[in-house]
Amino acid sequence: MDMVRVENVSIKFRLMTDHITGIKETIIAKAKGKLKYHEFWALNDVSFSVEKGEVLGIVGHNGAGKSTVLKIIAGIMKPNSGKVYLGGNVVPMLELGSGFDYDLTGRENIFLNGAILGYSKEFLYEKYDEILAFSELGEFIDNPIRNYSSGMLMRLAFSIATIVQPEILICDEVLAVGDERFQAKSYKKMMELMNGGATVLFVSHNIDQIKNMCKHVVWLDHGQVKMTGDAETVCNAYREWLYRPEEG
Amino acid sequence: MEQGYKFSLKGYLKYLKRYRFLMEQLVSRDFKTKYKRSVLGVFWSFLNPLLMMAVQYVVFTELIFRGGGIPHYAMYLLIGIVIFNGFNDCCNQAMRAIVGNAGLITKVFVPKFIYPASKVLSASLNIILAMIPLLMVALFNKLWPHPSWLFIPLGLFMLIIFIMGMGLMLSSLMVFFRDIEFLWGVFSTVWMYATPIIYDINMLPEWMRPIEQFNPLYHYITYMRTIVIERAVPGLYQHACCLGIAVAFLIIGSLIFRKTQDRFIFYI
Repeated sequence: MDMVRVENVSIKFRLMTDHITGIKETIIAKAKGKLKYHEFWALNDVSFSVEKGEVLGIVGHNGAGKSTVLKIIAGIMKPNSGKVYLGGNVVPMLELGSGFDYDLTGRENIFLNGAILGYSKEFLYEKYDEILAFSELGEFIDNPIRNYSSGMLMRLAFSIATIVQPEILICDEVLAVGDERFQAKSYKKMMELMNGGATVLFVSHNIDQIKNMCKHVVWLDHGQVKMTGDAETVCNAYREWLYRPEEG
Repeated sequence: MEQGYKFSLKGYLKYLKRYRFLMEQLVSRDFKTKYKRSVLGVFWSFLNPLLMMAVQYVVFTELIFRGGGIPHYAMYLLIGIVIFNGFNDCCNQAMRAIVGNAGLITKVFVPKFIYPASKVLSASLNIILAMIPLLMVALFNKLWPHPSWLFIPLGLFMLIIFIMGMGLMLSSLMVFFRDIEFLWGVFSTVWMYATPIIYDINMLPEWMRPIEQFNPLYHYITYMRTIVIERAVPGLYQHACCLGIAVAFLIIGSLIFRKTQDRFIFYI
């Protein structure tokens, strides 16, 4: 069964040559006829699908459209054309700490962040002890997090993101968390989630990690799918392309 | 299942239900953090309007204007101040709701109206809390409790709906034009002086009086003054004005928000 199906998705970005965000500037620019847009297709007719329980890796050079495609799947951006079908709820692994309020305690942040990720009150109360245990924060949980070290913040964020059982998990370069021991623990947790039937979309520049974790890989290049297939083949081709001798 | 949502009333209610816990969390977050590091904490919600009233009362009765012969002038001032400042505070908060949550909006799918809506709700809690000192001042002025007080919640409800519309409008305009923030500062000052807060509408030149009919805040302030000072239930006309303005602004605000929300992501 397809858990995620991306069909012919295209999205056009319109970049203004100068970033204009004022009324005066806009009027002046319009009057001068200088309101020029630089248009380009960030994604052009992209299609792929992910089966339930599969880990799909997405690779590509900077600006190839990796994050954009994740944003469209998460419903944050709307494509200009094409459709996305989802077979379950999508949980993004937040860039660490982006949903935190630094004046609240760790405990309050667990509930705030959990609510942002779309979990119910009952669910969070039920999982609270587990989150606390995984984060290893102990009694610090009742301190405002502005007093936390960056390592503690990351542990808290990661614990909230993974303690839940998302059906579709979106990971955009987030697996470098905390000290080495905690990284190993997070890695194990990710594998657990994947084995537990979660469908994962995984973006990373670490090709070895992708080869390790994913079965299939999509290679995006300038907003188009350059290649799809099993991890080994696509990663090798991508690596070869990356280190290709300069043309000319 | 397809992602994305339409702004139909049915969908709106469905999302309200689904995201109710998030709304609660956001509102309580705003409320908790507002006074978190102050000594008096939530008492500022009571004290602030009282102190503002005291200052303006002294200025406008002792220094200039002599209160203009308006009966129960302290009460008259306080109602105007509570409503106007509450309105202004909500608008200022809601305006930054989308821009200020850029970090989240670009990463998690949450119906975007939740951000300004929760800001309006948390800021309007202050208006509701300010009713406590307001009614205390009423008692102090021997304006005893009256059955008409039962209409206070309705007045506040209509006011908050009106503010919600303003909040949706301002938060989406702010995304495209950051100048709104500064323009609003000037605009709200003009609005304040244009509203009969310190003076009575009859003190305006005759040609200006009908213009007040187009000032939403004039209607809400009059509504509350009728209840507390005249100790009467506002008439049908007052109800119609307050309700009509609330509904109209909510609809306009929602439409603007709905029309622009898909483009937020490219501007924040």
